[in-house]
This record gives sequence, C-alpha cells and structure tokens, in this order.
Amino acid sequence: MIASTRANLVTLITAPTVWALHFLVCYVTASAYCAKTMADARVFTGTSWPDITVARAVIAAATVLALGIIALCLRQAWGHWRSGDVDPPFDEPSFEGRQGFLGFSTILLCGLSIIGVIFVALPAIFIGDCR
Amino acid sequence: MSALDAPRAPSQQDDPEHRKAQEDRLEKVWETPGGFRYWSAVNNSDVGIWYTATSLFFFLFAGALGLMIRTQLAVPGNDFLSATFYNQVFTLHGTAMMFLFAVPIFEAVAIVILPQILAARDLPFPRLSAFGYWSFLLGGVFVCGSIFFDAAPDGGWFMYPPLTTDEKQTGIGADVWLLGLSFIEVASIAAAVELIVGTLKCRPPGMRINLMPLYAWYVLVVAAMILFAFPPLIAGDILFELERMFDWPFFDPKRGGDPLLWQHLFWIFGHPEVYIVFLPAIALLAMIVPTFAQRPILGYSWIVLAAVGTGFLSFGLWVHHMFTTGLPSISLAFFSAASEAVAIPTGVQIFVFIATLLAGRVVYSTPMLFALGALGIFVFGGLTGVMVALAPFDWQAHDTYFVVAHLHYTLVGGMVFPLMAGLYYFYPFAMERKLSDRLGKWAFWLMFVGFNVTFLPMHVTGLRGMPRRVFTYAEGLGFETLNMVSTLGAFVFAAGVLVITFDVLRPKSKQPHAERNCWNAGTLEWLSETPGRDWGVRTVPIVTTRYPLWDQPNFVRDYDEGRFYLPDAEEGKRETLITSVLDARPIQCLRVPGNTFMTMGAAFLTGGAFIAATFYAWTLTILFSIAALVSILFWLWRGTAIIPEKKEKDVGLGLKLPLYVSGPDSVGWWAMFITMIGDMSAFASLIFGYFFYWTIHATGFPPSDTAGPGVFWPGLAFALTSASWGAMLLARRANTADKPLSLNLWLVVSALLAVGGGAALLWGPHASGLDPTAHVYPATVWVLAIWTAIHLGVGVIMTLYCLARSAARKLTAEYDIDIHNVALFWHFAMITMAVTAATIALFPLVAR
Repeated sequence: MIASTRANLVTLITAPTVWALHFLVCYVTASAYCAKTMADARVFTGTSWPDITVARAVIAAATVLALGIIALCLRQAWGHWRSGDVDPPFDEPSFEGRQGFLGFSTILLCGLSIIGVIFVALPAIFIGDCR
Repeated sequence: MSALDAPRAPSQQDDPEHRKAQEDRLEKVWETPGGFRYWSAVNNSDVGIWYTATSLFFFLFAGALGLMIRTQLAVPGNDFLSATFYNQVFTLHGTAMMFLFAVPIFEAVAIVILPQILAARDLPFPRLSAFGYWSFLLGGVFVCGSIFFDAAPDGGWFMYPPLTTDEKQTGIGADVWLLGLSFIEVASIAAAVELIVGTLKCRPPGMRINLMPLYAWYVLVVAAMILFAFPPLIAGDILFELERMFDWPFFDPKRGGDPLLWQHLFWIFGHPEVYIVFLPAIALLAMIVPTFAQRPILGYSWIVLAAVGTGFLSFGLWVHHMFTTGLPSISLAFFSAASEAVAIPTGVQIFVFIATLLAGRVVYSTPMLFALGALGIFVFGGLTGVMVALAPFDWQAHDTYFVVAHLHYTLVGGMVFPLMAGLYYFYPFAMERKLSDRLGKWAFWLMFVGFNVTFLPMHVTGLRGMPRRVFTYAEGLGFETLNMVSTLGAFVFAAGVLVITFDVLRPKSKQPHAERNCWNAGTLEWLSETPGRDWGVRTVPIVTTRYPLWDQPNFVRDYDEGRFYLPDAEEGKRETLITSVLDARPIQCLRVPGNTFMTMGAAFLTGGAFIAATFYAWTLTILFSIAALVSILFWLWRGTAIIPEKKEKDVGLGLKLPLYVSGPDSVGWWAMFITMIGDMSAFASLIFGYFFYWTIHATGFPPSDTAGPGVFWPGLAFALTSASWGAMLLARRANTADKPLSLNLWLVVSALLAVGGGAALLWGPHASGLDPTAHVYPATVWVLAIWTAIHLGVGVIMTLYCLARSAARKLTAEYDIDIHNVALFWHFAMITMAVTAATIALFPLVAR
C-alpha cells in the first residue's frame, strides 16, 4: 500500500503520518525524560536543571529518519506525477489523471511535512535542558 | 468517451410514458410520510433539515446567553447577573456553541448536501443519521434545559479539575455536562462513520478521486479527524465521571492523580475540534467561490494539500492551550512550532480562493458578501493566532480578553460567516425558495460591523489585563469604555442575526420557486428539481468532469430523462449505487432502509440511560441500558443484512450489480472498521493515561507499596481471549464452508471463552486487592480491565447474535455479512486485550 507503483489514499497520507510520528517521538522523549528526572520539583530546591542531551540525540536521529522516509515518499510521488504525462489541473477522467493528481498532491504534502518536521525539530537545537 | 455516448443510444428512456411510470414509482418509494409518521422519516433530506434547524436553534440560544454576558459586563459592578449564574451562563454559552452548534451543524449540513453532491439517493446508513439526530436533540435539550433549573454546568466549557471534581463547588451541572455531551459525542462519531463511508463508497460512477468535489474532500478529512479527536474526550469523560461518582482519584494529586491529564485529554480533542469546526465551513466556501467566480477552482490539489495537511497538523497543537501550566520549555516549543506550521496550509486555502476570484468574473451576491467578510475576519483571527502561538506572548495574554477576541475572530470568521454564506447559497437548494437579497445585505453589514465593534476592542481590553470569566470588574481600571463599546457591538451583531432569522422563518408560500440551479453552479447538487422531488436524484449519473453541469454536454437533459443508472424502483425498494474507493466503479446496488420509529426509540432509550446516570439513579440507568440494548438489537435484526429476493439487479445501461455483498466489499464492514478506529483512539487515550501517570511518579508506577494484578490472571485472560478469537475465526471459516453445525459450535465456544477471558481479567486486580479509590494506580488498572472486559462482553453479545441469525437462517454461507463484521470486531477486541494485558501485567516488570 505504501510503496506502490499506483498512487492511492495511503501513499497520499504517508508523509504527514511520518510527521505525526516524528512529532510524537520528539514530544514523548523530551517530556517523559524531563518528567522522570524532575519529579522532585527541582524548581523549588535550587539544583540545576537536568540537561537533555540524550533526548536531543534521539530527536536528531528521529529527524534524520523522518526526513529520509519523506524523501522516499517524495521520490515515489514524483514518479507517479511524471508517469502519466498529464498537466494540472489533473481533471482527466482516466487513470493518468488520477495518478497525476494523487502524485502532485502527495508532493505538496511531502513539502509541508518536511517543513513541519524541521520546525518541530528546531527547539531541540535551541533548548538544552528541562527548564 | 464511451461512457458519455452510452446514455444517448436509443433506449426505452425515449418513451415519455415509460419515464412517467418510473418517476411515479420512484416518488412513491422515496415519499416523505405525512402526519404523525413524518417523524419516522430517515431520509437525508428530512433528517438533515431537522438537524440543521435544531443546531441553528441552539446557536440562537447560545447567542442569547452571549448577549447576557455582554449586558452584565457593559458597566463595572453590574448586578444584572449573580456571580454563580454568570458562571453558568458563560459555561453554557461556550458549551452550546461548540458542542450543540459548531460541530453538529457540520454533520447536519453534510447530511443535507453530501448525498446530492455525490448524486446518491441517500447515505448508506440513513437510520444511523436519524439515530444521531434524535440523540443530539435529546442531549442538547437536556444540557441547555439545565440552566432553567439553575443546574447548568458552571466550570467553564473546558471543565478543568480540581474545580469541577469538587462536588461542593460544582453541583449536578458538571454531571450534566459530562454525560449529556458524551451522549452527543457518540452521535457525532456515528455521523462521522456515515460520512466517511458515504464519501468513499457512494460517489457516482466515474467520479474518480481526482474529480471529487472539494466539499467531499473536506468532509472526508473532518470526519476522519472526529474519529481521532472525540474519543480522547470520551475517555476523559469516563475518568472524570468515575472520579465524581465513585471517587476514583484520576485528577486528585493527593492520591497520585494529576489534573493535567484532563487538560491533555480535553485539548487533544479541543484543538482539533477547532479545525473540525473550521474546515467544513471553508468547504462551503470551496463550493461557493467557484460558482460566483463562474470558473473552476484554481489549485484543486492545493486545496487537498490544505485540507489533509491541516487535518494532520491540527493534532500537534493541543499543548498551546497549556502554555502556562509549567511544562518544560522544550515541550512547549514543539507545540509552538507546530502551531506556526499550521498557518501554512491554512493560508494556502485563502490564497486559492483569492486566486480563483481574481481569475474569474465575480458575480456579487449575498453569499459572496458573507464569503468575503469571512475571509477578512478569519485572516485577522489567524494573525492573532500566530501571536498567541508564541509561548512568551501567550504567557502575557493567557486567560485575558485578548484570547476571547482571538478565538471569536477565528470561529466567527472561520465558521459563522461562511455558514451564513452557505445558508444563503444552499437555501434555494434545500427549501426551494431564495432568501431575500436585500435582507441578506442588511444582515451582513449589521453582523460585520457589529462583530468588529464587539471583538476588536477586546484585544485592547485583554492587553490592559482584563481576565476572562470574571462576572464583573471594578471602576477605574480602564475597562469601562472598551466593555461598553463591545456590548453595543454585540447587540448590533445580534440584530444582524435576527434579520437572518426573520428571513429564514418568514412565510414564503406566495414567493415563486427559485429557478433550477439558480446560481448557475457546476456541481451535481444543483441538478435538484424545483419544486423538489423526494427521490434525491432522478438517476445516478456518470460523471467525467469536476463540474458536470458546466462541462458535460446534454448532462441535465440525459439526467432528467433517466438515461443513467437506477432510473427506476421496479421492486419498490430504496436503492443507491455503491462504487469503488479510488475510481468509483459501480460494485453494488445497495438497498437502503426506509422510515421507522425504531431509531427514535433507540435514541431516547440510550439517552434515558445517560440522563438517569446524571441523577445517580442506578436502577433506572440499568433498566434504560437494557432497553436500549434490546431496541438496538431489534433494529439490527429487522433492518440490516436483509437477504434480497434475487442476487443481481439490472441497474440500467446494461449493467448488472449484486444486491448483497459482504466482507470488505460491503459498507457495513467499512462502518465497523471505521467505528473501531474511533474505539481504538479512545482506548489509546486510556493507555496514554497509564503511561502519563508512570512519567509523573518518580518513585515508581505501580508505587512500591502496591502489588499489581500480577502476571497470572491477566496472562490467563489473554490466553482465553486469544482462544476465543481463534474460535471466532474458525466459526467464520465454518460458515464459508457452509457447515452451520460447526459454525454454531464454534460460536458457542468463542462466547464461553470470552466470558472466561473477561472474568479472569477482572479477577486479577480483585484478587490482589487493588482498591480504586486508594490511589490512581489501582484506579488506572481497573479502568483498563473494565474497558477491555466490556469489549469482550459486547463481543459475546455479537457472537450470540450471530448464533441467533444462523438459527433463523438469516446468516448462511452465501449471506454472511454478520459473521464478517463480528469477526472484524474480534480482531480489535483481541488487540485491546493484548495491549491491556501487556500494560498492566508486563510493563511493571520492566519499568519502575
């Protein structure tokens, strides 16, 4: 369903699904790590904030992986889009029309997902501890 | 283009008398019943209109509450409302606007127009729509009516504990909110199932996925969002009620709970809900803009990008409602980033509309006026949204009138104005007569000016520091003039709404019917005749373009002459076409059920159980629950998986289609699958709760002094349930092999094993003496065990139902819808059991 010579509704939503999973991994990793290390309400005790190097490494790895999968989606969608030799607005009542439409829409969603993944990964560059 | 040529070949449709006879038969089959029986109607055109009217009524009701709020705040130190009554008024204003107007109106409008947009005679489960409507009506009246007894919810529309779990501070109102709305949420999920299956399977032949009207794309996305957004709230409601009724301490920090879990569950629902409200309204614009630009939409794929992209991103925003709860900055930053990212797809839609208008020749009209007003207001609300999505700014603006202004700009601009555009646009389609252009323009300007006068100053009021939800304020803080201006504006806005209400309600029998396709639109819903006919569509057309009324030659004539599919109702049955998901190839002629009071009865009995529970009247609750179950089984028995009198039917144009299909080909299987996705997301929310508690308990979860349910009993439960699931699969295989005896045997075995599995699962926490009121850990274990056991119980009822169907020869090797759907349910029940057992029995072994 996901890797297919024919575009379908699953290939359409693969990239944003990857975004969602990446988002979850980032959030769960960072927040579970901080919750577990700070359950003693450090803010009142004056000790330093735990740093999140481990979580940042996980987020970095997840980001590379997510961008890689989306790149594969993009390559596949590009193939779908070019295969039929149809132009926008992709409204031919044919397999090629459908393929071109789904391919092109998938490319757009891949683009949005890439931006989304990078946006969500950025905090891990700027924030180094649990404050 | 053979598909286009086919209808023009000589056929019996050339004979006017033959056509007349067909039309008579169709009219008779689809006739709306008269007199008292009118209320037994289940057809989308009737139920949809009731649904729309009811939710508009709740809009007026909640609007009146809004005016009361503004009256109270007009001057400092006002005593128009008491503090406690003010709490009820603003809570009910938000609650009714969101739960009784904004979301239901999406379902309502979709039920009215979606079948016609897809040229289907009805959606696949009309009785489910009717059930949803009656549930909504009852639940809505119950929730709104509470204010007349001084018993309305008063803890704010998001009901934060610990205020709302404290029974001394909040009375029965909180229970009214939790149970009344849970009941309505179930109806919303039912509507979502109906709309997803309708969009995917009821399109006209030839309407490939790239030709689907944009409205249908939005419906698909929004209905899917409902499946993932509403169940977390239902899960939250369950935890909440367990705390209120039985003192299970989910949100009580003294016993290990955490009020923040409610905030998470509420906003996992609440933020996507904003988009669940916004996208369908934008979908109306996606139909209106091309019509009044008199050209196809520019950037069809970009709209699909926007709809799907927003649908996903909107699930990564929820914590931006919780920026001030003290979560680590890194967590806030993820949500802040996603909140900024969602502006991209949202903006894309706006640009697509503007580009379409620029490229076309715009016909100015009332719907167009509302559409333009919507874009203006929404863009403003979107920009303040970008501001509050930044955590440091939000820390300043949180819980002030700035946020009130922001949310009203997005919701009124993103939803109310487009809806009014839709009302003026679709009114002639639904009610056969046009609304007045003059009144419409008056209404628009009153609403547009009134809205901005009300809410623009609130940004300043908020930045000056006036908090939300205060029933009054002191003199000399700089709030007086701003509040007075807002109040005046609110009444101007209300005057605009009144003008529309008058326009809708004024008698129009002397007014001539609107001409057919009065806006010269290009999509299929405008095929509808005026005066209207009950049949939905004369014939199910073959579609080869996005705007068939503009682009397909002789389309309307061929349609009127019944030259496409299903031009007749020879057998006197209600029928519509089912087609494949991507290419809309015809695959089945679906018999849809007709009018009945059963759905109303089932809805009222189900509602009775919820209402009785509100008053802690347990005997009555149990009686109502049993009656509701019986009525639903009766409904299923009489009205589903009906064996047709013949296998195939000639649907016209030389095409023969089966009347009965089962498994993944059937709409019922899809409905079960989609329902169970929703069920899984509720379950996932409960599991999230378990792991949430694990993260916040540094000393271990389960706590070191508490023994868990152990491994033995959950393990046994897992083994028995696996065996039960296996027996169900063997039963299905036996049925396919046409061995009724072994089918029945395996069904009995499956049911017995499932009973054993459920009992073993519940015995685990019982045997180790877990007291759910002592600490959040036992409470969480019990909730997971009970949830799973209930699923096994439902599975047993389904299994016994199959047994009865088999005994009555309604379930056979050839006619096997029931067993396929029940087996599908069992897959999900098995997953539920496996995850529960792993969580409560195995997880404590590997993590502290």
